[in-house]
Amino acid sequence: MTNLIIILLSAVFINNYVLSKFLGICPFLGVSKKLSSAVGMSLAVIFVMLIATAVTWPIQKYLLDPKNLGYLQTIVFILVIAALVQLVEIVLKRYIPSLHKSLGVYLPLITTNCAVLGVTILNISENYTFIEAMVNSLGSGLGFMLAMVMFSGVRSTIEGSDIPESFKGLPITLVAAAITSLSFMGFGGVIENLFS
Amino acid sequence: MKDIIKPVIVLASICLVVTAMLAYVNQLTQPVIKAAEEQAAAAARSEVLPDAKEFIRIDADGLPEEVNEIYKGSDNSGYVVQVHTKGYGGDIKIICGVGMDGRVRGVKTLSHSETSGVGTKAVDNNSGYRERFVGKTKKECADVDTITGATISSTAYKKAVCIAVSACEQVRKVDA
Amino acid sequence: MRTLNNFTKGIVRENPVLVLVLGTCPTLATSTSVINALGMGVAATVVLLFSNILISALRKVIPDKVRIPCYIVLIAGLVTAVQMLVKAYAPALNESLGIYLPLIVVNCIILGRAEMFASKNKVLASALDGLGMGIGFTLALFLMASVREIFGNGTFCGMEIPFLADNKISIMTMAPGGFMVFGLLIACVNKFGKSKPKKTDFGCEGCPQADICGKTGSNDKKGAVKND
Repeated sequence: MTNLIIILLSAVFINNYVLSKFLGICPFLGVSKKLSSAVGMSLAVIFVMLIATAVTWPIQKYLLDPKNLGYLQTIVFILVIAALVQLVEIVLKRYIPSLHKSLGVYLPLITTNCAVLGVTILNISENYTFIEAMVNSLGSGLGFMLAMVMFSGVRSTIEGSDIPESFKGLPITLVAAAITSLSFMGFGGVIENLFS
Repeated sequence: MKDIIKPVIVLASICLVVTAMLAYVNQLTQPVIKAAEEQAAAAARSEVLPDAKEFIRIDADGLPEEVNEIYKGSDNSGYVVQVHTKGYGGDIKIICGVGMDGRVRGVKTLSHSETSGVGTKAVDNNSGYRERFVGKTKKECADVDTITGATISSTAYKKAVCIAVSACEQVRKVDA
Repeated sequence: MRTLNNFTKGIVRENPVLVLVLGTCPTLATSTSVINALGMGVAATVVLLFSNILISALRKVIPDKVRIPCYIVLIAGLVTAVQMLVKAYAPALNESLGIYLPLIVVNCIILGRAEMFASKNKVLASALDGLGMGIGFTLALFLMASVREIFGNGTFCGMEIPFLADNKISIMTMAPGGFMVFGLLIACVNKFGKSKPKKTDFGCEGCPQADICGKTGSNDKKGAVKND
């Protein structure tokens, strides 16, 4: 149990996908301008990460590994994720239109989001069990959400400030991201020592 | 009807061709990858047990599940054990050489995914932590201090070394 | 002249990283040391070159409806092949690039060029475009890695630099340093760049899904990067 909590907390705070592993930077910079879109995008990412892990983990363990086809991992995973995203979109549209309305626009973006492919590959290379893999995916998704939500707050503050001409737009956003990521580094020691 | 069939056929044939190409490249590179891994593993073994010239892989029953493989060094020099334990970010894989006297000859981290700047204080091969185990017996290894600020990582590392030493002890008893 | 232009535009004027702001994830993640950056750059360039050639050659065969899955399969195949070759002949590089090597599949530069250029142009032009973009990507990575390694680790390609080696600013090689150096570099490009840079507000512009992204992300979207 402690093991799972450690995996969860470290995925959220310490090995944060955006701020320390640099995965999913595109949506982090692109969709974090408004709080509502940041939350919508993150929810969609969490959702897809969970189902992608639930599908790719058994595929790797029970299909690719026994048949010695490990080298097809990348190609199979990306296709599975692309297909899943399509499927989820269709299902949501048909049965839960209200949810589709709020998440739908973000779903197609996620296929090429490196955080999703990243989490499925890392779950395999870290040798996680199925439960651990699911917890790790949940943590990674929550970490993504935390970074997005925090950063959208930071950005709304930047919006109103006086910025040098050449720093307008992306550069100041990146500098702000640097400071946000710096603050996340503080979690490193805290959580590690919680469990000792 | 044609509108549906054509895309499916094209996509399927692209998948087939790509898979065939990958199978071919895999066949070409697999032996080279194996050889490179083999070479790296051999180098790591000699590093942690320099007295031995050759290593023979041995099979033993009843070892802890953390032990991946165990080798016996030539000239009665000792054993080399590969162990993995759960660290903070994932598995920590180490290789540990133990002499016939039951003392650690050398330890080396093979792979880890600990946090850079925190857990690496213990598991990094340049951190100096691994030297603390050299020359120690099973009991002395258990008394090595963990590192403040990298408690989980260093505890996992220490546990791995202790498992390696006791696995050697177990194998030596069987051998003798 | 036009043919040559296809090649050179990617290197400076439309540099994929610093001007178009694509492929930010690998740029930030693998620019911790010069060797890593060059390894990543070369691997991505090879994939980009071959994916552009293949997609351009197959552009009349691939039906519009399934073009994105087709591109993804081709790119993923190439990436896996490159990954196996790196594993076989440069295992140390494979170790240090880790997860970012298979993640070349989702590098927006590659899918972006496939969608915007290779699917509309002849094979030779696409090959030159891919090569140019790849070199531009590598150069940008090299530039960033140089700054980060020199100041963060006091070394360049592993060689120690006398004064800086004793006064390391380790934060430069860690995550915050990556964001910071990248931000400063783009600010420099904005300041000293000859042509007025496009107002790139975020990194998804060249993604095939940029339209959707634009709707949700920013409200001052300036239209996708122009197709030539």
